[in-house]
Amino acid sequence: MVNYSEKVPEEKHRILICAILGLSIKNPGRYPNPFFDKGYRINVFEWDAVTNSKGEMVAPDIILANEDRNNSIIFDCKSGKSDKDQAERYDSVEKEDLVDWGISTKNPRELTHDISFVSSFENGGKIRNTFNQWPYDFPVIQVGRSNIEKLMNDFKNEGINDIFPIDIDFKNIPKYIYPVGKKSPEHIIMDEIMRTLLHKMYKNEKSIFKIKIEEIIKDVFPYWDKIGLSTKEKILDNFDRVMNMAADSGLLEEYIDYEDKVTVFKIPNYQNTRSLQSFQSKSMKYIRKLRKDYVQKRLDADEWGSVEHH
Amino acid sequence: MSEKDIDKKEINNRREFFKLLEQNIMDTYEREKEYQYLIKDLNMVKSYLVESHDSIKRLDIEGYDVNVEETNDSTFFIVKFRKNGFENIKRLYVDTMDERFWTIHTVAKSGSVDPFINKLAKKTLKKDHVWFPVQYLERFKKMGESRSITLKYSEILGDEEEELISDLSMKLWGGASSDVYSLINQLPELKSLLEKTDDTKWIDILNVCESLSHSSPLSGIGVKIFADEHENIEERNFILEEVNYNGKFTARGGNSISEHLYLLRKTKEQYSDVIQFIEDEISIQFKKSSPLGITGHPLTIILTRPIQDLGKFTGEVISCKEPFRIWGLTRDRSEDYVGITGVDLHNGDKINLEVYEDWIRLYLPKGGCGNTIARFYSLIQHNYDSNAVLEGVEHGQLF
Repeated sequence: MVNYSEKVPEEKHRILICAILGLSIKNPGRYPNPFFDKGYRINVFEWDAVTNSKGEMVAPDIILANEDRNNSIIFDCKSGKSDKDQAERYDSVEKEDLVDWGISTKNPRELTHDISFVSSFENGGKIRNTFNQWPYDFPVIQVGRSNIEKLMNDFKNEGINDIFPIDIDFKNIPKYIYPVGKKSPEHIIMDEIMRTLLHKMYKNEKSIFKIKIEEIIKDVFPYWDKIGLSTKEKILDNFDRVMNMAADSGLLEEYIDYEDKVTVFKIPNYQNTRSLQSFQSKSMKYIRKLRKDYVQKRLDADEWGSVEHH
Repeated sequence: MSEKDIDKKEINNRREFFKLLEQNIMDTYEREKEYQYLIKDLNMVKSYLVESHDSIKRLDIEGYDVNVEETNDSTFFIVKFRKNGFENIKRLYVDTMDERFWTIHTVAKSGSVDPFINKLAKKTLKKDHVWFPVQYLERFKKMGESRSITLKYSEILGDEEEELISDLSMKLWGGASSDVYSLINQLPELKSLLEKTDDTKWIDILNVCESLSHSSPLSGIGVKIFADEHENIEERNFILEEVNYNGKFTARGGNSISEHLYLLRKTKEQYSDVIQFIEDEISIQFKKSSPLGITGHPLTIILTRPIQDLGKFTGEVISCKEPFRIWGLTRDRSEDYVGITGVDLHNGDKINLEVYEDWIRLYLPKGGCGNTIARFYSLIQHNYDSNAVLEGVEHGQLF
């Protein structure tokens, strides 16, 4: 059983996104896909902020669109606290906004939409209590260990209400459908970086090469060009920090040298099985350490303690 | 015609090559008719389908001297190779009309060519065999009269304590060979029926039977294919073809080289279409146009033999070694789940795996090679569970 409490909130957020994406793709593999069956397709996910009818910013995690029904569902995944200001901004999203965002529809004039908040089983109760105090009627759904249920309020589209509760096995959430997010923690970022460096080495067919951090990021996020500037900066800073940590750790010095946002990556005799195994085992060791440190850091934080009790 | 005679022949284009193969196969046919058995010294026509993401002009195989010669046809090459320390030069005729899936023909002995092709496909970057999973290989049965089947299995992923059959190699000749294979496949069903009788004396035998069923992947198939529909069956041209799961086609007899070449071409086209479909429709892609969306989906391998020790199983898969040759990092691990961020060492492409007790989820990111899926699936069948089934396509089967 994957334990949320071992994960940092940022990773929890990505897994909630994967839980919803899984419901919306063809063949998630031993995981239901009622949104896909009902004709919904993924239109947007973890998009950069867009404007609502009042000119305020909202940043939906996922938007599903059903062209035939002219219906869209906007999901915001909550891994931490709820924010009334954010809810109010979502309340001001109108169909014209969705049309401006380019959401698929056959008839923009008839486009309807729902806004739904997604919680994990650890914070669902807290989110429900919070939303009960607010004047919004957003459907709130909870991703649990054995089902995804609607905690409160209905979707405007009746056909959607009928699909809940959705039986799932939490461990079967397709977690690599979205393998790394903009808020992913260090051990996930490092895992992607190491894999990408080896991937590039095989493509370049060189046992040593230089690569800018931005090139690595572009490979990790194939939709880099679509990400807004402010998010790009945050991701760049995060990757830069993670690479500096790796270079300073002393555990990967035979493979990585990092300075001024440029990595020198080398694996002597890179097609040799033993060289690869050695690189693999040292990478694993370092990533395990990152994971352990991060979880410990979170467990030490007061905020984590309060989340864990829900 | 001996190998030395063939080597003396100048081949400058496909027409001359076709004549060479035709003469070779007719020699074999006539002598076989005359002596009623295959003569060992005769060199059968063998063809290999090989995937390449690189130019043939860069062909370089460790442990061999390799010389690539051009012909008058810009897509047709003659490759001469010699194992280091040996004198004999062997000759291959390489058709690169399809730049990605080459057809390599030879009349040289398998003992020399098979190791070279294996090294080319398994150890050389950006090269690979084609991989016909069991279900795909079974299609060849329908093309003519079934003559033989080959079963080949090597256990590398199972737990030692539960391992009952570690290696299996079996070849069955004759019209009933397919029936025997079907019987082996039905052994688990037989076991479950007999178990209901509560007769304990059968248990040990049935366990072995079940193990045999998991360990008997169809690895080769022999079939007699007729080239025409002449009323008198004796008058029909035909080819006795043996196809193995790594894309080796051996013309073991017959008198129609055209049929051999046609079979190769059709197989290559169909296989190429499947691989292209995986890359275009199944690989996980992010739409370049606005707004940003995802297309594609994972594929699922359903196992009929549960994995006892996930850590050991995945450790072998990502050991960087043959046969999987996958480098990977264990991102997430629990008793009943392992998530792997991986790289396929055949070509450097990314692949992600989620391994559960009785199924595996495969994600091929955009730009990944569809042949990686075919290889992984085939290797699971040949090294862990020959009854494994790939799922994830809405209509019909991928393989």
